[in-house]
Order: sequence, then structure tokens, then C-alpha cells
Amino acid sequence: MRIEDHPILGKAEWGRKITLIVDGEPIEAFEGEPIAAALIAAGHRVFHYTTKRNEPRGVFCALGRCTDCVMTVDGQINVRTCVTPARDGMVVKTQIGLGQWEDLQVCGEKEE
Amino acid sequence: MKDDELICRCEEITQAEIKEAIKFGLKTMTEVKRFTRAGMGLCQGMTCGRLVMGILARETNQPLSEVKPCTSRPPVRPVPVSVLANRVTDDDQN
Amino acid sequence: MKAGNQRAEVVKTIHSTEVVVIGAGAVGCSIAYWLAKRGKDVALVDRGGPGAGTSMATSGLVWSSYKEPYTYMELNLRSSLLWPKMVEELGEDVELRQDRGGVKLCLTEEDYINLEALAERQRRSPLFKGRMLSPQEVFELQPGVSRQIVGALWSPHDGDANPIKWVFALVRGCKRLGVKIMRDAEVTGFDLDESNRVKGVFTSRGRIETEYAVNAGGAWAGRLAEMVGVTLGLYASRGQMLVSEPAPIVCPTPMSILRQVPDGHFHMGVTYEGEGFEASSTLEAAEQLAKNAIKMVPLARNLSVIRHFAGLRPMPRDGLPFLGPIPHVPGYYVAVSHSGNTLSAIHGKIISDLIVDGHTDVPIADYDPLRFDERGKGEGHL
Repeated sequence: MRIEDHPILGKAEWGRKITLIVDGEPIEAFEGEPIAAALIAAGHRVFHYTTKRNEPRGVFCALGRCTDCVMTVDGQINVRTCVTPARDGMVVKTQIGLGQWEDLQVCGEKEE
Repeated sequence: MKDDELICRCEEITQAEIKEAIKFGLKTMTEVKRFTRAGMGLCQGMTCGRLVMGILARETNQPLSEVKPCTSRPPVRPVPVSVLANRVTDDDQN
Repeated sequence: MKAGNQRAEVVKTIHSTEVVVIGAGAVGCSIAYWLAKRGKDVALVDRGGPGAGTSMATSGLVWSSYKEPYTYMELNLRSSLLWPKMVEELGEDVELRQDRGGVKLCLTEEDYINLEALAERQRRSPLFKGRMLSPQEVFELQPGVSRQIVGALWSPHDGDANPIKWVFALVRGCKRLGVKIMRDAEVTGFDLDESNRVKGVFTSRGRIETEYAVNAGGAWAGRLAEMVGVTLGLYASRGQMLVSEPAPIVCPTPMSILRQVPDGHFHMGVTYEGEGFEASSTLEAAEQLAKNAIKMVPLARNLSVIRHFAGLRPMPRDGLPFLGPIPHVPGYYVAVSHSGNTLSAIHGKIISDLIVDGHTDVPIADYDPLRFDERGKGEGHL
């Protein structure tokens, strides 16, 4: 579901096609668009589950303020997918609560 | 708005919990925040701030303009620890 | 009548009680709670709301091992042992963590040597059970810690809690016991009779008739003491702390300076800045705290800081508490110290013992409130 022709913004112009790995599955995206846009276009709605009540969250404010859309991206937790540009090969995971330590280790210990 | 409606989405705090803080005797945004944790989550009150101010104003019969927001603290947006640690200044010898 | 007092006849008496506790922080709330438990009629007074001072601008350690001299360590240790009893009585979860002990990291050989020597000094007390850990032992307790560390000082008695939940739990306990909590009541003076005995406390809301007044004013206790002509000898020291986004738990063991709370946030502390500062956040401190955090827990480098707060903490000039009565102002008691979170439990017991029984079994001879005043020795323990 993408808007190809917008009444005000005109015809869509996307960058090159890339692949994101979302929960192990490849999905199509356009380079530079918000990760959330690619996910929604692919029909993905639940982005993370809350820590306390384990409730699903998706896009809410869509402008990088509310943190409803956060996911674990390339090992980084709490990434705001609505304002983070998609890059080829990004590993995107539905974040459950606080996220996984294994992911933190991937990006955390590299420089030690 | 119903009492079971979520006000603080990050910390999952309902309107009922905000009202409970006010019933407890708390009057300011900072006090309500400490009691309920509303505004302490990932977005630091960006989403719930105005909503809590509205509830506080209504429940304590104050005009909204009289309700002071929480203490303003840096950073305005999340900043990685590594960025703060690598801050370069004029006197940096590295 | 002393300076700072108004004449009793022109000020309305709004309440009458047996004890006025000034300062609704962790210490004041604990004292009010203990006094009420001992059957006293108590009014808990604050110029704002509960915990508005240091109590809710701190990390929340419940710690004793590195505090010197060893007699002061014992006071903190005894207070740490009182905490779980009080938590059970209050019936609330304040996130008290004491089951794994607490760890103070050694980043360099010098750190290790110094802490090892400190531990040896602390062993003058039979209560001290701390010991040095090897790096491997530290990793077992605290998986997220840097592999560059040299070891740590560990004590089974050290731990932490949520200081905000602690204060609110104490307030609820006070309410249950009938303590009258008077917020937005700033103390402006003390009403003393001809023999200098306390008979009332003047506040911005009016006069409270009382037999006893307890100065639990924390960083602001000096002013409250000046009102009865006493010099305490303390200053307000600024502390700053960074709070990170919530992260998966990699540091489950309480740790001094940098700790990961049960919610997942890292509290990256802490500065000790001299006197005369406003409680504002500085970029220089942020840089230092960030650097320190990475040295201790490298994983922190990729976490984001979401808040950088500052608070003022009471710093007695010799580091030791002010606990006890002011003999020439009968009825006036002082309960002010550094480490108010840890010590709040035992300060409650000490002051309630003193007011109700006239004495306490807790050794407090070193903590004379007059030791910096000209009426005392004048030099404290410097």
C-alpha cells in the first residue's frame, strides 16, 4: 500500500530498491525512505510490544516524538523507524519489551 | 476520556493513575510525574505532557495557563553516550 | 525571641501537635513515621511537596561499605539492615535489591589497592563482611561490566532501591498512622518561650503549636538552624546524573556510580561539585559522566541519554551526620546527613528513640549537631 500519486505532493519518486530483513523475512524497500514506511507498505503493523503490559504498538505520531514505532535495528534497540532511513540489508526486529542483550552485544562490544 | 485510557504511552500509565496522584495530594507536574512515572519513559513526556497538564488543570480547578510544566532538562532529543563522551572542545589535547 | 520569629500574638495558630518534623524527604518522612509508630502526634511540614529536595534527585543507593570511618560505615550498615524490615511493614514494593550485594568497581590497579586498604580499615568493625573480588567473580555477578576492570569491592550488605517509591511508601505509612502532612508550608521561624524552649513553629501557612521540632531540612537545614542561632556546618553540593533509555538487563547487581535499575534505565553518575551551585545540568559533567560510563559498561556507548538531571545534596563539612538535640534550645532536634537515602531508616529510629525515650542505643556521640557551632567544639571532626 503506497501512495503513487498524491493530490498535493504529486507523483512519488523513490530511490533504488533494497531489501530489509524483518524478523528473518526479506521485504522490499526503497533506499532512504523511513523504515516504517517500508514496513507499512509490506503490511507490517506491529512494531514492538510494550514492557509492562506486553501490548502491540505501531506507528502513532509518525514524526519521531512518541516512540511507539521503535524496533531493534542492526542490534540497536529503541530505533524510531518513522524517522530512520532504510539501508540495504538492515536487520529489523520486532522489539519485545526492553529488547535482547544479544543485539546490544553485537553493536556494543565492537570497539573494545 | 475514560479512566482506563492510556495517557503516558511509554510507561503505560492510565488516566485513573494520574487522577490517583492528584487525590494523593500532589499538585504539580513534577510531583505527578514522580508518583506515576508519566513522562519518565523513552519520549520523556513529549506525548503525555500536555495531556497530564490538562488533567491536572481540570482536577485541581486551575486554568491551564497556571499549570507549570516539569523541570526542563537536557537533552532535547536522545543523544548517544558515545557522542557525549567524544565531545571535542578547543582545549582537547587528543 | 530570636531573629526570624514573628510575634506569636499576631500570627494565627493553625494546628497543634506534639512534634513538627520539617522536611518531607526520605529522612523527614521516616522520622515522622517512626514517631507516629511510637504514639506521638506528628505534623510533617514541607515548603513544597514530598521528596522535593535531594530525595527525588538521587540514584537510590542503600550502601555502607566504602563509607569511612568504620563507625560511620556501621551506621550505614545498620540502616541498610533496617530497610527490608521497614519495607515489609510499609507493605509496598520499593524495588529494594539486597540479595546480590553491591559492587564498587576498580578500573585501575591503584583503585584496587586503595579499596583493598579501605576494606582492611573497615574490618575494625565485626559487622563488615565486604571483600575484594577478582575480575572473573565480578563478571559472574555483573555480565555487562567491562573486561578491562581489575576487580571490585563487594559487600553482601550493599544494595539499592527506588528512592521515589521509598518516599511515597513512607508518606502512605505516615498517612495510615495519622501524621498530618502539611505541604506548601515554609518554616519562617521558631516560637521559643522564656527559657528558649520550643513552643511553636512559624510557617508561611501559619503557626503550629508544638513541643518538639525536628530539623530534617537536608541541604537547606543550615537556614533552619540559623533561625535558632545555631551553626550546623554543612553546604549544598551539586550532583549530576545521566539517565539512559531503558535497555535489556545486563547489570543486575547494584553498583555504585553507574547502575542499571530494574526498569532497564542506566543511571550514570555522579558528580560532587563544591558549594554555591544551582541544580542545573552542565555539558562538561555530561561528557565526564558519559566517559566514565563507557569505562565501566562498554555496552552503554550505544545507548542514548534521555535525561540529564541535577540535584543538591547536603554535605556536612566533615562528612558526618548531625543527629541529636540542641541542649540550649530544648525541644529542637536535628537529623541531617549525607547519604540520606541509606540513613533515612535509622534516622527515624534514632530521633524517635531520643524524643520518646530520651536516649538511643545507636552510637551517635560523633554526630553532635553543635560540633561546628561556637557552643560546641567549633571544628567538627576536621
